[in-house]
Formats: sequence, structure tokens, C-alpha cells
Amino acid sequence: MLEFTLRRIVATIPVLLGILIVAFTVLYLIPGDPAQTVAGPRADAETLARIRSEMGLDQPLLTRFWSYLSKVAGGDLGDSVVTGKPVLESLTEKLPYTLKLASLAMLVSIFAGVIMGIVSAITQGRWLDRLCTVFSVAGISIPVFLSGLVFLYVFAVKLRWFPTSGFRAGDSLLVFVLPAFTLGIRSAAFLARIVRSSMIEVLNQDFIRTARAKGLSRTRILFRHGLVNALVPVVTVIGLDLSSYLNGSVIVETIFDLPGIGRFAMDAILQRDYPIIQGVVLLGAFVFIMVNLCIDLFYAWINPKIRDEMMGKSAG
Amino acid sequence: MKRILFSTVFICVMALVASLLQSAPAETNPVSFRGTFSSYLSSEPANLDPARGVDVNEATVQAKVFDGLVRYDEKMRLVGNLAESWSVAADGKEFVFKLKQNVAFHNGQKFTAADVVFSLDRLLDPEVGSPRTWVLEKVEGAADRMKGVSKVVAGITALDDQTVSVKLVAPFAPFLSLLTMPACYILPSESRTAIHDHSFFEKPAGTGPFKITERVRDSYLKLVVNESYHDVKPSLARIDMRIIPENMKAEMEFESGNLDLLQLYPANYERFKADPEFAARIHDVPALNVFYVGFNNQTEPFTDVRVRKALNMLVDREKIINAVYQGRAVPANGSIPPGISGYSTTPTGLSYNPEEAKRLLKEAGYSKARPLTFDLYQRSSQSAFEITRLLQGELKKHGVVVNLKPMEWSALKDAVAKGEAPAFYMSWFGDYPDGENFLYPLFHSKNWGSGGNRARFKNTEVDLMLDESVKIQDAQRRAEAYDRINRRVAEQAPWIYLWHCSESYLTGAKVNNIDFSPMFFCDKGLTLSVRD
Repeated sequence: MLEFTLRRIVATIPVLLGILIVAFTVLYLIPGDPAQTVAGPRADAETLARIRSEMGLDQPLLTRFWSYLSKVAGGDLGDSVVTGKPVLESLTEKLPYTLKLASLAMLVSIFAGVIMGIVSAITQGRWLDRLCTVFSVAGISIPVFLSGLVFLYVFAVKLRWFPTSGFRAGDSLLVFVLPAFTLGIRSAAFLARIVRSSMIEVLNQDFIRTARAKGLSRTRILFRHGLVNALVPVVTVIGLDLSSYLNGSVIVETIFDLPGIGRFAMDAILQRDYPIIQGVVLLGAFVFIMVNLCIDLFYAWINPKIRDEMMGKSAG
Repeated sequence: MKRILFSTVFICVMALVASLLQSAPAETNPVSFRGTFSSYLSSEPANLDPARGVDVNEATVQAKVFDGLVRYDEKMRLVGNLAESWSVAADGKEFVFKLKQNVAFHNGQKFTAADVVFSLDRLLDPEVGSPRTWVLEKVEGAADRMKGVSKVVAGITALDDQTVSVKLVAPFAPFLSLLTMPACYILPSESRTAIHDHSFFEKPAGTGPFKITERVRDSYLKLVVNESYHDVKPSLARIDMRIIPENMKAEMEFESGNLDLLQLYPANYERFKADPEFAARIHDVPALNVFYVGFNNQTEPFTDVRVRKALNMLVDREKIINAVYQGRAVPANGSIPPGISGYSTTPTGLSYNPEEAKRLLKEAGYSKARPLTFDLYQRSSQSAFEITRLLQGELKKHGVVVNLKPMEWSALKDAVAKGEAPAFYMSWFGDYPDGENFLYPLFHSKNWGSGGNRARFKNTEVDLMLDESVKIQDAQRRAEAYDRINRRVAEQAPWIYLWHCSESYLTGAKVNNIDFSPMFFCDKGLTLSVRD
């Protein structure tokens, strides 16, 4: 198991390298010039050229890539070309906001999604199931920017249950409740559908009938035998959602004024702040790979069959 | 024992004197600072370094934290700020500033002439890499400093602790206007190490009316009054500035009473205007701007002046202004906005005249069978589409085919700077209220492309007229010269001159007094007051 984990971690290096190459090339190809952001609306060609050379943008692509790589290898993600602030410092400043938001949203999503899924599965075809279906469809199809603004208007502006932003609330977790709901409800809706179908499938299996025949209690059948077996596809979805949340949600962070990774990345993209964009891409890819690794390990934990396969592979 | 007694008495007396000295200014100055003004910025001010700041959000903060030698007050009068008085030599080439005494920076450092020399020199220092070196490029020795040939700027010297002299290579009458710009704000020279490694600018200390006490990037800044401010004392105690990029969010925050100021756009203006609760608190402020469709004057079909003129004459500006801005804009008679020296009060010959336009287009070889067709580059934002779609429709009525090319802002700037855009919908916002700022950067051939002359307009006579106009010291005569240049450029119609837009703001119920000026972004918050 340890060898498997280590091998997976080492395997991330070429993946990260590949992602960096793609990001570098794409940034090189898209139009737009960070020197113009720095220079403002009245800068002659001479000033622009000077700023470009300070940023190292006048170097050939390969030279730039190589110098960036050697810096990254030394743990330095470079400095923002617009503010001059180290990228790593900014990322560590923004990450806590995104982490809190992502974990709370995941909590909402798992809690609401799994419960709704189970309820739907056991009341299949009845009114409770239909209600859950309506909720799921609404949750999936209503865009986040709309639900976010509606939540904000109703719960923060009108009812004043929650602060409109983190500005006066300080470090209170209350600030994260509405954004976490906005973000979490959407994936809760997805999860509910998947848990439902997965549960229905499992509950129709022979071993469930056997368990029932053995006289096991309904709850034990549902959770010990049903849910655990239905979890495998569910965990995949949870993992995918988690990694996307950890990369920041631009819309939710913008609507709720959270200075997280998503907004940071978006601003950098609009200003063509290359070092920040590359830093965020690198972080995102790393998070994605790590979350996937955790999911694989989790599979192995809940399903011994998969564990054996992994061990077999890692031994071979 | 005697010695101890003596020292105790001495210390007590000194403490008494010190406390008297400290309380003395409070007695002569009965101002008490009250209330918090809650405002917002549409994006994080990337740079609070005056030498590197280029956008409105940066200027909004800098203006409150720093001071320049001179400033524009809320009535747009040029007044002294850190300079108590100044004199201009008869030949217009030397400015001598007498500085205020007993001014201190927020960090306690005393302000002297050395700080002025340090800050202005820093703007030209090649190591700083300021994009705004042009502000001081006419100072003697600026070129050598920028090239790194010299370690000092020959033309900027401290005559004594309270006097600074600035010499120019040639007379340049708008120079004092340039000195009001954030780029020329004064920094404490004793903090040069922190300034050099940028750490100073996280919460910079200036001499300004407000100090930054708290700052969370991308979230908010909190400012508190500088009680010993040397100029007109502010009446506010605090200013909160939040970063709210989303207009709808700002609206919501305003309506729930969390903001005291909201900038209005055509999209939300009507809603607030129709609401009796808000209507009386809307302020429409003429701003320093000009909106235009620029042509790349060096590419077909815009190399032909007849085409450029005809397109000007096909646009019914009043109609579009009424449709989009409900009258909150003035049709442009050239590039200089009203209220600025050189504004042309009578038409410049490019007013709506479809008959003449058709004649010109026919003469240039366009007809129904061979219609004039071009690509119009624009920002892909709702506010841009509102205008360009109307323009497209208007021109289509007269047989001109316009293809809209919406682009993201960075890409658009790039395309225009490289001359790839044959026509582009853009605007120009002035940095200071002088006609020069609406002519020289926009139409002098020296500023081709990214320098401001995006239309790639080149006319030797206009260049010469511009170079001469800035030497005229008499304000009235200089304004006349700008007017003549404005008309001469309009004869060549390098743009479709569209309009000058007002900016609209909505203030909160607790705002007592707020003075908007055309350069509200440079407001120092001195006359602003709110109820507790």
C-alpha cells in the first residue's frame, strides 16, 4: 500500500510538468500583454519595451520556460508581474478562504446529497422521491450566480440572518454559510441522483435479499450492506467536486466577496499576470492529483477487492 | 537627594510643557472627526506605489494617503498642497516651490525638501521602472536619469530644507497640472529601503488626510483620519473601502445600508431614478472623458479622409445619447470635453448630416453595389454592446456594413496597440483638466499606438501646433490655441467623435456633504461628511 502511494506521488511529477508546458504554451499563444496592464493607457513603445524586458517577456519562450522551471524546482513560484508580490505568498494568503469554503460546501453536499439519495431510493416512485427529484433537477439547472444572488438577497439583505460579506464579520464561519450552501446545493443535487440510482441497483441485488431472509434489521441492511456498496461511484463524484472547489469558485467568491483562489486566478487571467496564472494552474493540478490519490486509497479501504488489485499491481 | 528632587521637578515641568504643547493645536482647531464613510472599489488596487499606479482604483486610495506639491480642490481650482506657495520664472522654465513647515508623514518622519527631490527623482529612476516617466520627461536632466547616465535629475534641486526648484528644458505651461497627478505624490525619503523592496506599499505612509490601518487584499482597506493633517481638515473619522467587483453585489450592499456610495450605470440608473427614496440622492457629474470610434488612419478604407468624415456625419449622436444615457452625455465637438481649456463651443463640421455623408461616400467610390464594410473592434461587455449595436444599426440604414468584433479587454488593447484593429470603440479619461491632455497624447505622432495615439494619426502641422501651444503661459491664449488644434484635427476626422459622458453616483441617506468633481477619483475626502 505504501509503495502504491509513493509510486502515485512520484508519478505526479511528469503530469505536473506536462500541465505546465500546456499552460505556458497557451499563455504564449493568447493575445494580450501584461506589460500593457502595468503601463496603463499612456505608455509609449519605449516604456512598454522596457517593462517587457524587466518582466523577461522579451526572452525566447524556451529560455523563459527553463528559468521558470528552475525557480519552481527551488520552491519559488516567481513574483506577480503586476504587483511584484511573491506568488507563493499570495497563494498561502488566499488558500484558507478557499479551503474553508470548499470543506463547508462539501459538508453540505455530502450530507444533503446522501440523505436525499437514500430517501429517494427507499421511497422510490412515491411523493417523497418525486419531491427529491424536483429539488435535484432545480439544483442542477439553476446557475450558481442566480442562486447565489437570491440567497444573498433573501437571507442576508432582507432577513439579515447572515452577513453579506466577510467585511464586518471578521473570522466568523458565518460568512461562509451562504456561499457554502450556494456551492454545495448544486453538487448535493447531483449526488442525490447518483446515490439514488446506485442504491436502487444495489438494493435489488441477491445478497440484499439474502440479508433480508436472514432476518437482519432494515437499518443494518440499508447502511452496512446497501450504502457501503453503493458508495463507490459516489466517492468518485465527491472527489471530482472537491478538487474543483479547491481550485476556487470564481462566481461564488465574487458574489460573496471572498478573497479566495478563484477570484485571484480570474483577475490574473484578465491582466495576463503569467506567474500567478501558472502558480494557480500548478496548485490546481497538484490538488486534483492528490484528491484523486485519496479517492483511490479510499476505494481500497471500502472495497477489499480493489485493495487486492492495487497490491497486486504495486507488487508486480 | 537634592539632585533627585531637582530631576523630579524638572521632569514634571517638562511633562507639563509637553502636554500643553500637545493640547495647544486641539484648542485652536475645534474640528472633531466623526463618522465612517463606507465606499468600495471595483478591483483591488494592484499598486499603491505612486510611481507604478495607473488605474482609478489605485488613485482613489493614493489620493487619500499621499499629498502632492499642488492639488485640484473639489471646485477644480489648482491650490497648494504640500507647497505653501510657488513662483514661475518669466521664461516659464523654472518653478520654485516654498514648502509647508511642520508637516509629518504618518510614520512620524518630518517632511522636507529632501522628500520632494527623492520622490520626483524616483519616478525617473530606471530601476523603479515607472510607466509614468512621461509626467516628468520635460524636466531638465530627465532623459539622462532615465537612461541611467546620471544618478540625479539635474533639474530637480532642494534650494534649502523648505524650498524646491524644478527646471524644465522648455516652457511647458500645463506642468503644474501634471504635478497634481498621483505619480508625483511625495514619499518619506527615510523609508527608502522599504520603498525599494516594495514592502512599504503594503500599508504606505504618506502625509495625506487618511492613514491605512488595515488591509486585506481583494477584500477591504480601512482608513482612519490623520488628525494632524496640514491642509483643510477632514470632518470624517474613518473611510472603509471594500473591494466589490460585481455591480449587482454593490447594489445589494448599498440597499442594505452597508455602503454610502454607489456608482450608477445605464443599466441600473433608471431603477433608482424611478424610486422616490433614491431619486433625490442621485448626482450626475460631468467627467473628464471622450468616447469615440477610432480609425486606424494608416489602413484601408480609413486612409481616405472622405470616408472618415462621412462616418462622423452618419452618426446621430443626440439620438443615441437619449436612448442610452437619457441625456446624461454631451455630443463631442472634437476630443476636448466641456469645462476644459480649449473646448470648442461651436460645431467642428462633423455634425449629423447624412446627405453630405452620402455624397462623400459616393465620391470615395462606395455605392449600394459596393458598400463600405469594416470590422469594429470592441470590448465584449454589455455597456460596449449597447453602443456598438446602435451604431451598427444606424450605419446600416445608410448602407454601411459594420461587423462587430467583441474581445476581452487585454486582447483588445493588444490588437489596437499593434494596429491590427481597423476601427475600435474606446474612450479616453483625462489625468488632469487641461486641453493638452486631450490633444497631445491622442494625436501627436510621438504617441503612436500604445502611447495614446491609437488612431495612428500623423499630421506634421498638428504636431508643430501642439509643441508650440504648451509654451504659451497665458491661460486664455493657450485655450484658444487648443481650440484651433482641436478644429484642425477634426478637419481630418481621425475618429468618429461620439460624446462626453457624465458619471452618476447615488449617495446613502447618512451622507451630509459630498463634493463630486470631474476628477472624483482624486478626491481627498476633505469636504466629505456623514451623520453618525
